[in-house]
Amino acid sequence: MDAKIGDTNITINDSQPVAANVVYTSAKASVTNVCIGSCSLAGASGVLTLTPIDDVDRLVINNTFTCPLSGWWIVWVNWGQATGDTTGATKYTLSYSLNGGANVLLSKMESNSHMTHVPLQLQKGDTLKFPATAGRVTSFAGSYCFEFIQ
Amino acid sequence: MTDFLVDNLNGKTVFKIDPSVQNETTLWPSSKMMMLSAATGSVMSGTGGAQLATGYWNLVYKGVTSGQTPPAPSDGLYHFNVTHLYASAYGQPVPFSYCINTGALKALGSTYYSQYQDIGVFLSLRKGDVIKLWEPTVYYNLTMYPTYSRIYHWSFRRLVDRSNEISAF
Repeated sequence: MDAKIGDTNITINDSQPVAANVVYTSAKASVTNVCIGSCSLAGASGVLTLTPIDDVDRLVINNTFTCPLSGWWIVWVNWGQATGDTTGATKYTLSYSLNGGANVLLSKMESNSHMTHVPLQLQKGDTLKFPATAGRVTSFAGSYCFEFIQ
Repeated sequence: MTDFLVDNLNGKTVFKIDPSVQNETTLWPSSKMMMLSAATGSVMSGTGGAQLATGYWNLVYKGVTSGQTPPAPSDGLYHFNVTHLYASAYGQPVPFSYCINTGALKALGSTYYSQYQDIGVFLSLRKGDVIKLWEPTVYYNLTMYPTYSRIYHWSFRRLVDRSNEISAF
């Protein structure tokens, strides 16, 4: 059975030989420890927009990641803008918010884009959202990953 | 050249360091410090080589220079990461792109104003896919390589292996 999330369905077909008569009808365990996608700053919302790819377990919904497995995770975000401002004073911030709590600074960006990461110890069911400098609009499609470590 | 034994991962990683830099007190990761026994398989990393006239960057892996990463060893989810230095106090962001095999270029990130930084992307790949890294050779009248732009190191690692995944019926 699926020890991680406990919802793997198994069907037994008595017309098949012994070894082949058990088939998995939903196998999710192998993908619950990594979730990747693209991201961008929507501007008006002030929250990093997360667009999952290959997220069969729907760990990311409405720009929020829900932890499926307790343990250490590394959150990776490649974010920013492709080109643009050259004014040194123009800086933007990206934070993370755990379970709707206070904003914790993740990184600052000035007219560029970069990969940033944070290791977090999460409990199953914890949620993460990424408030960013409100009003910032960029077409840069970055990338994110929630990676289970141990 | 002199072989140096560096206890990096498991005490067996061997670097070969170019004599021109071997007496320097600080060694930047570069093609002058080639990893000859780097990890293989699902985790690969190496140093940056020269930028080609096409804008693509050479990547050095275990002493072999190529215009692309090694091929993905299986279907899966991958992380491609590059550490770059923009060696200019010049405030115009320089865009980087990547492509999968011969596909279209997609934005990877921008470096800026004397920064030493990481840029990267998370991808769903098929076995055998390779990643190419691209940057304009000339940007705002500055010729990027070798003066203003350096790739110091890169990594290409598998996050999830799809090839052994149980099939759903």
